Amino acid sequence: MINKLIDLLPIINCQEATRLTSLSMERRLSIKETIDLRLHLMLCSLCVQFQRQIHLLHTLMKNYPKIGEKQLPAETKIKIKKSLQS
Amino acid sequence: MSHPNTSAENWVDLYGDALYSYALKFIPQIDAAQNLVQETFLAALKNQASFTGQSSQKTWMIGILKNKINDHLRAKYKEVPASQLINDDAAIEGFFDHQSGHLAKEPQEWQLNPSILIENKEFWNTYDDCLSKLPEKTGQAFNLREIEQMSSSEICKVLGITPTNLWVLLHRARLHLRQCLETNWFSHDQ
Repeated sequence: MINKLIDLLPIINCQEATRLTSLSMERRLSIKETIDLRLHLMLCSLCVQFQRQIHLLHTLMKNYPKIGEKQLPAETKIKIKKSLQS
Repeated sequence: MSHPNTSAENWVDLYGDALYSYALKFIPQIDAAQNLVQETFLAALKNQASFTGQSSQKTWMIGILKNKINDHLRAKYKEVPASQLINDDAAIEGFFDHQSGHLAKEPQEWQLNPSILIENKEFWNTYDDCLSKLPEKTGQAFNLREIEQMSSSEICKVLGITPTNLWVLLHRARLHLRQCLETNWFSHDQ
């Protein structure tokens, strides 16, 4: 129903709306882009959901477990040391 | 802190792990990362005279390593022109209805508590699995952006792509990861 409404009105589709959602995390949207996106989001709860989840993903990623410092294997260290001698 | 008196061999013990960890951020292949560390030390030895002591020895070597990483990635991705990589519409096929461009599948409600989730090792395994299904460059762009929180311009330089290309890759990565996590984690989790 809502999708039909979006088709009838001069409003961007979900493909474009999700693209703009993602883009808004990389750079400031133009005024036209902002209006296009807001209008779509007012009518499309799925894209609102998408937006929420993309933001959540962003928050989660900041907490990706840092593995700490990786150890260069001992045999590789020996190999490199040898190569530095020659 | 610099160690002007240490010999080249001591560098390996002093900086080996740090350089290796740095390389792995960009190049997950263990062999390739180790080779770059070795090349870095060899280059440092050869160009020792160019070390001015203005930065720490470690910073100087990371700088050399960065160049090596750039060269490596550039050579690797040379075969795939960026344009081809970007204009691959098949990559987002399935997410949207062909004709209308509306979302093909409804995003589900995710039941979660982020602070518990981030402690869950299995969740991150699922994430790694999902990431590994992405084309390598796409996954790398996403990791550098979201996990390493590097600036767009830095990532573009490393991957040899334009900002527009990067935005396309990131969007594609988000579409895929969102869907993959929903299918493999959030719909099982409740």
